[in-house]
Amino acid sequence: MKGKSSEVSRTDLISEEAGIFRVARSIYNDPSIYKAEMENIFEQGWIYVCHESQIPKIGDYYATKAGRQPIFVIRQSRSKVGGFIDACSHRGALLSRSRRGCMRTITCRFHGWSFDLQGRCTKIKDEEAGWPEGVDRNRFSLKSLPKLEIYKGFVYASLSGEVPELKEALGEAKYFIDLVSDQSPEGMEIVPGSQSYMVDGNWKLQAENGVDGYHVSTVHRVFARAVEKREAMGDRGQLRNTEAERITGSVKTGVCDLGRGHMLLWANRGNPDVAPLNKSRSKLLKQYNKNKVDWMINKGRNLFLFPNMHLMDQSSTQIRVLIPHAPDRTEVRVYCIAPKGESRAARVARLRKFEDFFMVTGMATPDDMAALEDVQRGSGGKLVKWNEVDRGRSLMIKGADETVASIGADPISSNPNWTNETLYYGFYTKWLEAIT
Amino acid sequence: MGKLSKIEELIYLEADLIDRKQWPDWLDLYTQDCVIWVPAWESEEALVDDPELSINMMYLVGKPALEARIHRITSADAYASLPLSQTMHSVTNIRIVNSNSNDIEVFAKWTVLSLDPRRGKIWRGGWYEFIFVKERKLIKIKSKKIVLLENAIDGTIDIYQI
Repeated sequence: MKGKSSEVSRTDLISEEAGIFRVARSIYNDPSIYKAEMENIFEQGWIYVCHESQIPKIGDYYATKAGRQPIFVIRQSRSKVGGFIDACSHRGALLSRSRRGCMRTITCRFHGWSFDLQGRCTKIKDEEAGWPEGVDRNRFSLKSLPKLEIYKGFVYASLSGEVPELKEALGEAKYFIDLVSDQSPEGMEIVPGSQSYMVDGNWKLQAENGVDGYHVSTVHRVFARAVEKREAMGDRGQLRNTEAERITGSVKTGVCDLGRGHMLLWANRGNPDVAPLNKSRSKLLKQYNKNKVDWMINKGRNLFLFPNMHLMDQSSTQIRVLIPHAPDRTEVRVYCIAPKGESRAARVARLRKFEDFFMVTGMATPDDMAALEDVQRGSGGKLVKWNEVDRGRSLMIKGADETVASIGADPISSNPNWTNETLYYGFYTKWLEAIT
Repeated sequence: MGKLSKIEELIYLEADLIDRKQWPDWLDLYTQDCVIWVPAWESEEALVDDPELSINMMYLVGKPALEARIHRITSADAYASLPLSQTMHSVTNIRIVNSNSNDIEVFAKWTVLSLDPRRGKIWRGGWYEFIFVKERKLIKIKSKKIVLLENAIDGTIDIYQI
Protein backbone atom coordinates (compact mmCIF):
# COMPACT_ATOMS: atom_id res chain seq x y z
CA MET A 1 0.00 0.00 0.00
CA LYS A 2 1.08 3.55 -0.57
CA GLY A 3 1.49 6.50 1.78
CA LYS A 4 2.74 4.63 4.82
CA SER A 5 4.22 6.48 7.75
CA SER A 6 7.76 5.22 7.64
CA GLU A 7 8.82 6.61 11.04
CA VAL A 8 7.62 3.41 12.67
CA SER A 9 10.39 0.81 12.87
CA ARG A 10 9.34 -2.83 12.70
CA THR A 11 11.87 -4.26 15.11
CA ASP A 12 10.83 -1.85 17.84
CA LEU A 13 7.28 -3.19 17.75
CA ILE A 14 7.51 -6.92 17.27
CA SER A 15 10.45 -9.20 17.91
CA GLU A 16 10.94 -12.87 17.23
CA GLU A 17 14.42 -12.97 18.67
CA ALA A 18 15.47 -16.37 20.05
CA GLY A 19 12.22 -17.88 18.82
CA ILE A 20 10.02 -15.93 21.22
CA PHE A 21 7.24 -13.76 19.80
CA ARG A 22 7.22 -10.40 21.58
CA VAL A 23 4.97 -7.38 21.20
CA ALA A 24 6.08 -3.97 22.49
CA ARG A 25 3.82 -2.50 25.15
CA SER A 26 4.22 0.92 23.52
CA ILE A 27 1.88 -0.17 20.72
CA TYR A 28 -1.03 0.42 23.09
CA ASN A 29 -0.25 4.03 23.89
CA ASP A 30 2.18 5.57 21.37
CA PRO A 31 0.41 8.37 19.41
CA SER A 32 2.66 7.91 16.35
CA ILE A 33 1.67 4.25 16.11
CA TYR A 34 -1.99 5.18 16.47
CA LYS A 35 -1.63 7.69 13.64
CA ALA A 36 -0.01 5.05 11.43
CA GLU A 37 -2.89 2.66 12.23
CA MET A 38 -5.51 5.23 11.32
CA GLU A 39 -3.79 6.09 8.04
CA ASN A 40 -2.85 2.58 6.95
CA ILE A 41 -5.46 0.29 8.45
CA PHE A 42 -8.73 2.07 9.22
CA GLU A 43 -8.49 4.61 6.37
CA GLN A 44 -6.97 2.23 3.77
CA GLY A 45 -8.34 -1.25 4.18
CA TRP A 46 -11.74 -2.86 4.54
CA ILE A 47 -13.63 -2.03 7.72
CA TYR A 48 -16.94 -3.46 8.91
CA VAL A 49 -19.69 -0.82 8.92
CA CYS A 50 -23.06 -2.38 9.79
CA HIS A 51 -25.42 -5.25 9.07
CA GLU A 52 -27.75 -4.91 6.11
CA SER A 53 -30.79 -5.53 8.30
CA GLN A 54 -30.08 -2.19 10.03
CA ILE A 55 -30.88 -0.33 6.80
CA PRO A 56 -33.83 -2.27 5.34
CA LYS A 57 -35.77 0.54 3.61
CA ILE A 58 -34.73 2.85 0.79
CA GLY A 59 -33.12 5.93 2.36
CA ASP A 60 -32.20 4.15 5.60
CA TYR A 61 -28.69 5.09 6.62
CA TYR A 62 -26.10 4.15 9.23
CA ALA A 63 -23.38 6.64 10.24
CA THR A 64 -20.00 5.79 11.70
CA LYS A 65 -16.30 6.53 11.24
CA ALA A 66 -13.62 4.98 9.05
CA GLY A 67 -10.57 5.78 11.12
CA ARG A 68 -10.92 9.47 11.81
CA GLN A 69 -13.23 10.17 8.88
CA PRO A 70 -17.03 10.39 9.16
CA ILE A 71 -18.90 8.13 6.73
CA PHE A 72 -22.42 6.85 6.20
CA VAL A 73 -23.90 4.02 4.20
CA ILE A 74 -27.38 4.35 2.77
CA ARG A 75 -29.85 2.05 0.99
CA GLN A 76 -30.22 3.41 -2.55
CA SER A 77 -32.58 0.76 -3.88
CA ARG A 78 -33.92 -2.60 -2.79
CA SER A 79 -30.73 -4.28 -3.92
CA LYS A 80 -28.12 -1.56 -3.63
CA VAL A 81 -26.34 0.07 -0.71
CA GLY A 82 -24.07 3.08 -1.29
CA GLY A 83 -21.73 4.99 0.97
CA PHE A 84 -20.39 8.52 1.24
CA ILE A 85 -18.08 10.68 3.26
CA ASP A 86 -20.48 12.16 5.81
CA ALA A 87 -19.97 15.79 4.85
CA CYS A 88 -21.85 18.25 2.66
CA SER A 89 -20.03 19.11 -0.56
CA HIS A 90 -20.61 22.81 0.19
CA ARG A 91 -19.12 23.61 3.62
CA GLY A 92 -18.54 20.14 5.05
CA ALA A 93 -21.32 19.89 7.64
CA LEU A 94 -22.25 16.34 8.63
CA LEU A 95 -25.24 15.09 6.67
CA SER A 96 -26.35 12.34 9.05
CA ARG A 97 -28.64 13.53 11.81
CA SER A 98 -28.23 10.61 14.12
CA ARG A 99 -26.46 7.29 14.12
CA ARG A 100 -29.27 5.68 12.16
CA GLY A 101 -32.28 7.08 10.36
CA CYS A 102 -33.97 7.52 6.99
CA MET A 103 -33.32 10.21 4.35
CA ARG A 104 -35.15 9.82 1.02
CA THR A 105 -33.46 13.06 0.02
CA ILE A 106 -30.18 13.91 1.69
CA THR A 107 -30.58 17.50 2.86
CA CYS A 108 -27.86 19.45 4.59
CA ARG A 109 -29.20 21.23 7.65
CA PHE A 110 -26.68 24.07 7.38
CA HIS A 111 -27.42 25.88 4.06
CA GLY A 112 -30.20 23.60 2.86
CA TRP A 113 -28.56 21.91 -0.13
CA SER A 114 -30.09 18.62 -1.24
CA PHE A 115 -28.70 15.43 -2.75
CA ASP A 116 -30.33 12.30 -4.14
CA LEU A 117 -29.46 8.83 -2.88
CA GLN A 118 -26.75 8.55 -5.55
CA GLY A 119 -25.12 11.65 -4.05
CA ARG A 120 -25.95 14.00 -6.92
CA CYS A 121 -26.65 17.57 -5.91
CA THR A 122 -30.30 18.21 -6.75
CA LYS A 123 -30.94 21.56 -5.10
CA ILE A 124 -28.88 24.59 -4.12
CA LYS A 125 -30.84 27.00 -1.97
CA ASP A 126 -31.39 30.34 -3.79
CA GLU A 127 -29.19 29.13 -6.63
CA GLU A 128 -30.06 31.88 -9.11
CA ALA A 129 -29.42 34.67 -6.61
CA GLY A 130 -25.88 33.38 -5.97
CA TRP A 131 -24.98 32.28 -9.50
CA PRO A 132 -27.01 34.46 -11.90
CA GLU A 133 -24.76 33.11 -14.69
CA GLY A 134 -25.71 29.51 -13.71
CA VAL A 135 -23.70 26.83 -11.92
CA ASP A 136 -22.81 23.23 -12.71
CA ARG A 137 -24.25 21.23 -9.83
CA ASN A 138 -22.31 18.15 -10.96
CA ARG A 139 -19.23 19.48 -9.29
CA PHE A 140 -21.05 19.30 -5.96
CA SER A 141 -21.74 15.54 -5.92
CA LEU A 142 -21.09 13.88 -2.57
CA LYS A 143 -17.84 11.94 -2.26
CA SER A 144 -18.63 8.25 -2.68
CA LEU A 145 -16.70 5.74 -0.62
CA PRO A 146 -14.12 4.19 -2.98
CA LYS A 147 -15.26 0.66 -2.09
CA LEU A 148 -18.38 -0.82 -0.56
CA GLU A 149 -19.22 -4.52 -0.63
CA ILE A 150 -21.57 -6.78 1.29
CA TYR A 151 -20.79 -10.33 2.34
CA LYS A 152 -23.88 -12.25 3.54
CA GLY A 153 -25.44 -9.14 5.02
CA PHE A 154 -22.23 -7.70 6.53
CA VAL A 155 -21.59 -4.28 4.99
CA TYR A 156 -17.93 -3.35 4.52
CA ALA A 157 -16.36 -0.16 3.19
CA SER A 158 -12.88 1.05 2.32
CA LEU A 159 -11.56 4.57 1.89
CA SER A 160 -9.03 3.18 -0.58
CA GLY A 161 -9.95 1.71 -3.95
CA GLU A 162 -6.82 -0.44 -3.88
CA VAL A 163 -8.13 -3.33 -1.80
CA PRO A 164 -8.77 -6.93 -2.81
CA GLU A 165 -12.36 -8.06 -3.26
CA LEU A 166 -14.10 -8.40 0.10
CA LYS A 167 -14.50 -12.17 -0.29
CA GLU A 168 -10.78 -12.52 -0.80
CA ALA A 169 -10.02 -10.21 2.14
CA LEU A 170 -12.25 -12.24 4.47
CA GLY A 171 -10.39 -15.38 3.39
CA GLU A 172 -10.73 -18.39 5.69
CA ALA A 173 -12.87 -16.38 8.09
CA LYS A 174 -15.76 -16.84 5.65
CA TYR A 175 -16.34 -20.40 6.88
CA PHE A 176 -17.01 -19.04 10.35
CA ILE A 177 -19.07 -16.04 9.22
CA ASP A 178 -21.26 -18.52 7.34
CA LEU A 179 -21.84 -20.47 10.56
CA VAL A 180 -23.75 -17.41 11.76
CA SER A 181 -25.24 -16.07 8.54
CA ASP A 182 -26.59 -19.49 7.49
CA GLN A 183 -28.52 -20.12 10.71
CA SER A 184 -31.87 -19.20 9.18
CA PRO A 185 -33.15 -19.50 5.60
CA GLU A 186 -34.88 -16.16 6.18
CA GLY A 187 -31.56 -14.52 7.03
CA MET A 188 -30.31 -12.82 10.14
CA GLU A 189 -31.42 -9.59 11.77
CA ILE A 190 -30.18 -7.13 14.35
CA VAL A 191 -32.52 -7.12 17.34
CA PRO A 192 -33.87 -3.74 18.61
CA GLY A 193 -31.74 -2.13 21.29
CA SER A 194 -27.96 -1.85 21.47
CA GLN A 195 -25.28 -0.39 23.65
CA SER A 196 -22.24 1.77 23.10
CA TYR A 197 -19.54 2.06 25.69
CA MET A 198 -16.27 3.90 25.96
CA VAL A 199 -13.22 1.98 27.10
CA ASP A 200 -10.13 3.81 28.33
CA GLY A 201 -7.93 1.40 26.43
CA ASN A 202 -6.37 0.78 23.04
CA TRP A 203 -8.48 -0.87 20.32
CA LYS A 204 -6.01 -3.78 19.98
CA LEU A 205 -6.62 -4.77 23.60
CA GLN A 206 -10.29 -5.12 22.68
CA ALA A 207 -9.36 -7.11 19.58
CA GLU A 208 -7.25 -9.51 21.67
CA ASN A 209 -9.70 -9.81 24.54
CA GLY A 210 -12.59 -10.99 22.38
CA VAL A 211 -10.63 -14.09 21.37
CA ASP A 212 -8.66 -14.61 24.57
CA GLY A 213 -9.57 -17.89 26.20
CA TYR A 214 -6.91 -17.60 28.88
CA HIS A 215 -8.64 -14.89 30.96
CA VAL A 216 -11.99 -16.66 31.09
CA SER A 217 -11.40 -18.92 34.08
CA THR A 218 -10.16 -16.01 36.21
CA VAL A 219 -12.06 -12.93 35.02
CA HIS A 220 -15.38 -14.71 34.40
CA ARG A 221 -15.32 -17.22 37.25
CA VAL A 222 -17.55 -14.83 39.19
CA PHE A 223 -20.00 -14.71 36.29
CA ALA A 224 -20.36 -18.49 36.33
CA ARG A 225 -20.92 -18.46 40.10
CA ALA A 226 -23.46 -15.66 39.99
CA VAL A 227 -25.47 -17.46 37.31
CA GLU A 228 -25.19 -20.74 39.23
CA LYS A 229 -26.54 -19.01 42.30
CA ARG A 230 -29.44 -17.54 40.36
CA GLU A 231 -30.30 -20.96 38.96
CA ALA A 232 -30.07 -22.60 42.38
CA MET A 233 -32.55 -20.04 43.70
CA GLY A 234 -35.15 -21.00 41.14
CA ASP A 235 -34.45 -18.93 38.11
CA ARG A 236 -36.55 -19.40 34.99
CA GLY A 237 -35.58 -22.55 33.07
CA GLN A 238 -35.17 -20.78 29.75
CA LEU A 239 -32.08 -19.03 31.05
CA ARG A 240 -30.24 -22.24 31.77
CA ASN A 241 -26.57 -21.78 31.39
CA THR A 242 -24.72 -23.15 28.38
CA GLU A 243 -21.42 -21.73 29.40
CA ALA A 244 -20.37 -23.03 32.81
CA GLU A 245 -18.15 -25.74 31.32
CA ARG A 246 -16.41 -23.25 29.09
CA ILE A 247 -15.59 -21.04 31.99
CA THR A 248 -14.14 -23.84 34.09
CA GLY A 249 -12.31 -25.17 31.03
CA SER A 250 -13.72 -28.70 31.14
CA VAL A 251 -14.66 -28.89 27.45
CA LYS A 252 -12.65 -29.20 24.27
CA THR A 253 -11.38 -25.86 22.97
CA GLY A 254 -9.05 -24.39 20.40
CA VAL A 255 -7.77 -21.30 18.62
CA CYS A 256 -6.77 -20.51 15.05
CA ASP A 257 -4.76 -17.91 13.21
CA LEU A 258 -6.99 -17.65 10.15
CA GLY A 259 -4.60 -15.45 8.17
CA ARG A 260 -5.06 -11.82 7.06
CA GLY A 261 -5.32 -10.81 10.72
CA HIS A 262 -8.52 -12.77 11.36
CA MET A 263 -8.64 -14.95 14.49
CA LEU A 264 -10.90 -17.68 15.84
CA LEU A 265 -11.50 -19.10 19.30
CA TRP A 266 -13.87 -22.00 19.80
CA ALA A 267 -15.11 -24.21 22.62
CA ASN A 268 -17.54 -27.08 22.77
CA ARG A 269 -20.79 -26.21 24.51
CA GLY A 270 -21.18 -28.18 27.71
CA ASN A 271 -24.90 -28.15 27.27
CA PRO A 272 -25.77 -27.54 23.59
CA ASP A 273 -29.36 -28.68 24.18
CA VAL A 274 -30.20 -25.31 25.71
CA ALA A 275 -28.53 -23.24 22.97
CA PRO A 276 -31.25 -21.10 21.33
CA LEU A 277 -30.37 -22.55 17.90
CA ASN A 278 -30.78 -26.16 19.03
CA LYS A 279 -34.51 -26.01 18.28
CA SER A 280 -33.62 -25.63 14.57
CA ARG A 281 -31.22 -28.60 14.45
CA SER A 282 -33.32 -30.93 12.31
CA LYS A 283 -34.16 -28.12 9.89
CA LEU A 284 -30.49 -27.20 9.53
CA LEU A 285 -29.47 -30.83 8.97
CA LYS A 286 -31.69 -30.91 5.89
CA GLN A 287 -29.74 -28.00 4.44
CA TYR A 288 -26.15 -28.46 5.58
CA ASN A 289 -23.83 -31.36 6.30
CA LYS A 290 -23.45 -32.75 9.78
CA ASN A 291 -20.06 -31.15 10.43
CA LYS A 292 -21.34 -27.69 9.66
CA VAL A 293 -24.39 -28.10 11.89
CA ASP A 294 -22.16 -29.48 14.62
CA TRP A 295 -20.00 -26.36 14.37
CA MET A 296 -23.11 -24.16 14.46
CA ILE A 297 -24.78 -25.69 17.49
CA ASN A 298 -22.29 -27.73 19.51
CA LYS A 299 -19.50 -25.17 19.52
CA GLY A 300 -19.31 -21.63 20.79
CA ARG A 301 -17.19 -19.41 18.57
CA ASN A 302 -15.59 -15.98 18.84
CA LEU A 303 -14.42 -14.68 15.51
CA PHE A 304 -12.33 -11.55 15.13
CA LEU A 305 -12.47 -9.97 11.71
CA PHE A 306 -9.52 -7.67 11.13
CA PRO A 307 -9.50 -4.86 12.02
CA ASN A 308 -12.71 -3.82 13.75
CA MET A 309 -15.33 -6.48 14.39
CA HIS A 310 -16.04 -9.47 16.59
CA LEU A 311 -18.72 -11.89 15.53
CA MET A 312 -19.53 -14.08 18.50
CA ASP A 313 -21.80 -17.06 18.87
CA GLN A 314 -21.46 -18.45 22.35
CA SER A 315 -24.04 -18.00 25.09
CA SER A 316 -25.72 -15.55 22.71
CA THR A 317 -24.92 -14.03 19.33
CA GLN A 318 -23.15 -10.72 19.13
CA ILE A 319 -21.61 -8.22 16.75
CA ARG A 320 -19.08 -6.04 18.54
CA VAL A 321 -17.72 -3.11 16.55
CA LEU A 322 -14.54 -1.32 17.59
CA ILE A 323 -14.22 2.39 16.82
CA PRO A 324 -10.89 3.86 17.95
CA HIS A 325 -11.07 7.44 19.24
CA ALA A 326 -7.51 7.83 20.60
CA PRO A 327 -4.56 5.55 21.49
CA ASP A 328 -6.10 5.00 24.92
CA ARG A 329 -9.77 5.35 24.10
CA THR A 330 -12.07 3.06 22.13
CA GLU A 331 -15.79 3.11 21.48
CA VAL A 332 -17.43 -0.30 21.40
CA ARG A 333 -20.89 -0.79 19.86
CA VAL A 334 -22.62 -4.08 20.60
CA TYR A 335 -25.58 -5.60 18.78
CA CYS A 336 -27.47 -8.85 19.07
CA ILE A 337 -27.72 -10.65 15.71
CA ALA A 338 -30.35 -13.39 15.57
CA PRO A 339 -32.00 -15.73 13.05
CA LYS A 340 -35.13 -14.18 11.55
CA GLY A 341 -38.22 -16.16 12.35
CA GLU A 342 -36.87 -18.01 15.39
CA SER A 343 -39.35 -19.00 18.10
CA ARG A 344 -40.25 -16.49 20.78
CA ALA A 345 -38.76 -18.75 23.47
CA ALA A 346 -35.44 -19.02 21.63
CA ARG A 347 -35.34 -15.27 21.01
CA VAL A 348 -36.10 -14.42 24.62
CA ALA A 349 -33.41 -16.81 25.89
CA ARG A 350 -30.90 -15.39 23.41
CA LEU A 351 -31.58 -11.82 24.53
CA ARG A 352 -31.42 -12.53 28.27
CA LYS A 353 -28.13 -14.39 27.82
CA PHE A 354 -26.84 -11.44 25.80
CA GLU A 355 -27.72 -9.00 28.58
CA ASP A 356 -26.12 -11.26 31.18
CA PHE A 357 -22.74 -11.39 29.48
CA PHE A 358 -22.25 -8.84 26.71
CA MET A 359 -23.52 -5.56 28.11
CA VAL A 360 -21.34 -3.16 30.05
CA THR A 361 -24.30 -3.13 32.45
CA GLY A 362 -24.19 -6.94 32.60
CA MET A 363 -22.25 -9.41 34.73
CA ALA A 364 -19.18 -10.18 32.60
CA THR A 365 -18.26 -7.37 30.18
CA PRO A 366 -17.62 -4.86 33.00
CA ASP A 367 -14.91 -7.18 34.28
CA ASP A 368 -13.26 -7.41 30.84
CA MET A 369 -13.35 -3.65 30.58
CA ALA A 370 -11.81 -3.11 34.01
CA ALA A 371 -9.05 -5.64 33.23
CA LEU A 372 -8.27 -4.01 29.87
CA GLU A 373 -8.13 -0.57 31.45
CA ASP A 374 -5.66 -1.93 33.99
CA VAL A 375 -3.54 -3.35 31.14
CA GLN A 376 -3.66 0.05 29.44
CA ARG A 377 -2.43 1.74 32.60
CA GLY A 378 0.14 -0.97 33.31
CA SER A 379 1.53 -0.61 29.80
CA GLY A 380 2.56 2.90 30.75
CA GLY A 381 5.39 1.31 32.75
CA LYS A 382 7.85 1.96 29.96
CA LEU A 383 10.83 0.34 31.66
CA VAL A 384 9.26 -2.96 30.66
CA LYS A 385 9.41 -3.00 26.92
CA TRP A 386 7.94 -6.31 25.79
CA ASN A 387 4.96 -8.60 26.24
CA GLU A 388 5.90 -12.18 25.46
CA VAL A 389 3.20 -13.86 23.43
CA ASP A 390 4.59 -17.32 23.86
CA ARG A 391 2.06 -19.51 25.60
CA GLY A 392 1.44 -22.76 23.74
CA ARG A 393 3.95 -22.10 20.98
CA SER A 394 5.26 -25.67 21.01
CA LEU A 395 1.69 -27.00 20.71
CA MET A 396 0.89 -24.94 17.63
CA ILE A 397 -0.01 -26.98 14.55
CA LYS A 398 0.65 -25.67 11.07
CA GLY A 399 -2.61 -25.44 9.11
CA ALA A 400 -5.82 -27.03 10.34
CA ASP A 401 -6.16 -29.46 13.21
CA GLU A 402 -8.72 -32.24 12.95
CA THR A 403 -11.59 -30.18 14.35
CA VAL A 404 -11.05 -27.20 12.11
CA ALA A 405 -10.40 -29.41 9.08
CA SER A 406 -13.88 -30.91 9.57
CA ILE A 407 -15.43 -27.74 8.24
CA GLY A 408 -12.98 -27.34 5.37
CA ALA A 409 -11.13 -24.26 6.62
CA ASP A 410 -7.41 -23.89 5.99
CA PRO A 411 -5.98 -21.59 8.66
CA ILE A 412 -2.32 -20.56 9.04
CA SER A 413 -2.14 -22.39 12.36
CA SER A 414 -4.29 -24.13 14.96
CA ASN A 415 -3.80 -24.77 18.64
CA PRO A 416 -5.77 -27.37 20.56
CA ASN A 417 -6.28 -25.26 23.67
CA TRP A 418 -7.98 -21.89 23.83
CA THR A 419 -5.68 -20.63 26.57
CA ASN A 420 -2.82 -20.55 24.09
CA GLU A 421 -1.73 -17.34 22.46
CA THR A 422 -0.55 -18.37 19.02
CA LEU A 423 -3.63 -16.97 17.27
CA TYR A 424 -2.25 -13.47 17.88
CA TYR A 425 0.74 -14.09 15.58
CA GLY A 426 -1.43 -13.61 12.52
CA PHE A 427 -3.10 -10.53 13.94
CA TYR A 428 0.17 -8.81 14.78
CA THR A 429 1.89 -9.93 11.58
CA LYS A 430 -0.90 -8.44 9.49
CA TRP A 431 -0.94 -5.32 11.67
CA LEU A 432 2.81 -4.81 11.36
CA GLU A 433 2.74 -5.34 7.61
CA ALA A 434 0.01 -2.71 7.31
CA ILE A 435 1.61 0.06 9.35
CA THR A 436 5.30 -0.20 8.44
CA MET B 1 -48.45 9.47 57.56
CA GLY B 2 -50.09 10.12 54.21
CA LYS B 3 -49.61 7.78 51.31
CA LEU B 4 -47.13 10.06 49.51
CA SER B 5 -45.03 10.49 52.66
CA LYS B 6 -44.86 6.73 53.15
CA ILE B 7 -43.74 6.24 49.57
CA GLU B 8 -41.16 9.00 49.83
CA GLU B 9 -39.79 7.49 53.01
CA LEU B 10 -39.46 4.12 51.29
CA ILE B 11 -37.69 5.57 48.26
CA TYR B 12 -35.25 7.47 50.47
CA LEU B 13 -34.69 4.32 52.52
CA GLU B 14 -33.83 2.35 49.37
CA ALA B 15 -31.35 5.02 48.27
CA ASP B 16 -29.71 5.01 51.67
CA LEU B 17 -29.49 1.22 51.94
CA ILE B 18 -27.75 1.05 48.55
CA ASP B 19 -25.30 3.82 49.42
CA ARG B 20 -24.54 2.15 52.76
CA LYS B 21 -24.26 -1.23 50.98
CA GLN B 22 -26.76 -2.93 53.29
CA TRP B 23 -27.67 -5.50 50.67
CA PRO B 24 -29.96 -7.91 52.60
CA ASP B 25 -32.03 -4.96 53.83
CA TRP B 26 -32.17 -3.60 50.31
CA LEU B 27 -33.38 -6.96 48.94
CA ASP B 28 -36.10 -7.03 51.61
CA LEU B 29 -37.71 -4.01 49.98
CA TYR B 30 -38.58 -6.09 46.90
CA THR B 31 -41.28 -8.67 46.26
CA GLN B 32 -40.22 -12.18 45.25
CA ASP B 33 -41.52 -11.64 41.70
CA CYS B 34 -40.02 -8.17 41.36
CA VAL B 35 -38.69 -6.72 38.11
CA ILE B 36 -35.90 -4.20 37.59
CA TRP B 37 -35.84 -2.96 34.02
CA VAL B 38 -33.25 -0.62 32.54
CA PRO B 39 -34.19 -0.26 28.86
CA ALA B 40 -31.51 0.22 26.19
CA TRP B 41 -31.72 3.11 23.76
CA GLU B 42 -33.04 2.13 20.33
CA SER B 43 -31.92 5.47 18.91
CA GLU B 44 -30.74 8.78 20.31
CA GLU B 45 -34.38 9.67 20.96
CA ALA B 46 -36.21 6.47 21.80
CA LEU B 47 -35.90 3.67 24.33
CA VAL B 48 -36.82 0.09 23.50
CA ASP B 49 -40.40 -0.54 24.58
CA ASP B 50 -40.72 -4.34 24.77
CA PRO B 51 -38.29 -5.71 27.34
CA GLU B 52 -38.96 -9.35 26.44
CA LEU B 53 -38.02 -8.98 22.76
CA SER B 54 -35.42 -6.21 22.91
CA ILE B 55 -31.93 -5.73 24.21
CA ASN B 56 -32.06 -4.04 27.60
CA MET B 57 -29.27 -2.64 29.70
CA MET B 58 -30.70 -4.75 32.50
CA TYR B 59 -33.84 -6.84 32.74
CA LEU B 60 -33.83 -8.59 36.08
CA VAL B 61 -36.92 -10.70 36.61
CA GLY B 62 -37.45 -12.20 40.05
CA LYS B 63 -35.48 -11.77 43.23
CA PRO B 64 -32.86 -14.44 42.33
CA ALA B 65 -31.68 -12.11 39.54
CA LEU B 66 -31.11 -9.37 42.12
CA GLU B 67 -29.40 -11.83 44.43
CA ALA B 68 -27.04 -12.81 41.61
CA ARG B 69 -26.03 -9.16 41.25
CA ILE B 70 -25.42 -8.86 44.97
CA HIS B 71 -23.45 -12.10 44.93
CA ARG B 72 -21.31 -10.62 42.17
CA ILE B 73 -20.55 -7.29 43.80
CA THR B 74 -19.91 -8.74 47.25
CA SER B 75 -17.76 -11.62 45.95
CA ALA B 76 -14.52 -9.62 45.93
CA ASP B 77 -13.92 -11.59 42.73
CA ALA B 78 -15.49 -9.28 40.14
CA TYR B 79 -12.73 -7.26 38.51
CA ALA B 80 -14.93 -4.22 37.96
CA SER B 81 -16.29 -4.31 41.51
CA LEU B 82 -13.05 -4.41 43.43
CA PRO B 83 -12.81 -1.88 44.85
CA LEU B 84 -16.53 -1.06 44.84
CA SER B 85 -17.46 2.49 43.90
CA GLN B 86 -18.77 4.77 46.60
CA THR B 87 -22.18 6.12 45.61
CA MET B 88 -24.64 8.83 46.57
CA HIS B 89 -28.21 8.38 45.34
CA SER B 90 -30.35 11.48 45.32
CA VAL B 91 -34.03 11.04 44.45
CA THR B 92 -36.42 13.94 43.83
CA ASN B 93 -39.67 14.93 42.05
CA ILE B 94 -41.56 12.03 43.64
CA ARG B 95 -45.17 11.86 42.43
CA ILE B 96 -47.91 9.27 42.72
CA VAL B 97 -49.27 9.00 39.20
CA ASN B 98 -51.73 6.18 39.71
CA SER B 99 -53.09 4.33 42.66
CA ASN B 100 -55.67 1.60 43.24
CA SER B 101 -56.36 -0.89 45.99
CA ASN B 102 -53.36 -3.04 44.97
CA ASP B 103 -50.76 -0.96 43.17
CA ILE B 104 -49.26 2.47 43.60
CA GLU B 105 -47.46 3.81 40.57
CA VAL B 106 -44.82 6.43 41.30
CA PHE B 107 -42.52 8.54 39.14
CA ALA B 108 -39.31 10.15 40.38
CA LYS B 109 -36.00 11.59 39.15
CA TRP B 110 -32.56 10.42 40.23
CA THR B 111 -28.96 11.45 40.15
CA VAL B 112 -26.15 9.23 41.35
CA LEU B 113 -22.63 10.34 42.07
CA SER B 114 -20.21 7.40 41.81
CA LEU B 115 -16.60 7.57 42.84
CA ASP B 116 -15.16 5.10 40.41
CA PRO B 117 -11.69 3.79 41.31
CA ARG B 118 -10.56 4.01 37.67
CA ARG B 119 -12.32 7.08 36.39
CA GLY B 120 -12.96 9.25 39.42
CA LYS B 121 -16.23 11.14 39.80
CA ILE B 122 -19.05 10.07 37.53
CA TRP B 123 -22.46 11.77 37.59
CA ARG B 124 -25.32 9.87 36.09
CA GLY B 125 -28.99 10.66 36.02
CA GLY B 126 -32.41 9.64 34.81
CA TRP B 127 -35.79 8.78 36.12
CA TYR B 128 -37.53 6.00 38.01
CA GLU B 129 -40.96 4.49 37.47
CA PHE B 130 -41.96 2.37 40.46
CA ILE B 131 -44.87 0.09 41.11
CA PHE B 132 -45.39 -0.55 44.83
CA VAL B 133 -47.68 -3.22 46.25
CA LYS B 134 -49.00 -3.98 49.72
CA GLU B 135 -47.73 -7.29 51.01
CA ARG B 136 -48.91 -8.24 54.51
CA LYS B 137 -49.25 -4.66 55.72
CA LEU B 138 -45.85 -3.72 54.23
CA ILE B 139 -45.34 -1.74 51.06
CA LYS B 140 -42.86 -3.42 48.72
CA ILE B 141 -41.35 -2.67 45.35
CA LYS B 142 -42.88 -4.83 42.66
CA SER B 143 -41.26 -3.15 39.72
CA LYS B 144 -38.73 -0.44 39.08
CA LYS B 145 -37.99 0.90 35.64
CA ILE B 146 -34.77 2.86 35.57
CA VAL B 147 -34.23 5.17 32.63
CA LEU B 148 -30.54 5.94 32.23
CA LEU B 149 -30.02 9.02 30.08
CA GLU B 150 -26.59 8.06 28.76
CA ASN B 151 -26.58 6.17 25.49
CA ALA B 152 -22.81 5.88 25.21
CA ILE B 153 -21.72 4.64 28.57
CA ASP B 154 -18.44 5.80 30.00
CA GLY B 155 -17.21 3.26 32.52
CA THR B 156 -18.97 0.19 33.83
CA ILE B 157 -22.37 0.17 35.52
CA ASP B 158 -23.76 -2.26 38.05
CA ILE B 159 -27.08 -2.35 39.85
CA TYR B 160 -25.95 -0.17 42.76
CA GLN B 161 -24.73 2.69 40.55
CA ILE B 162 -28.02 3.81 39.00
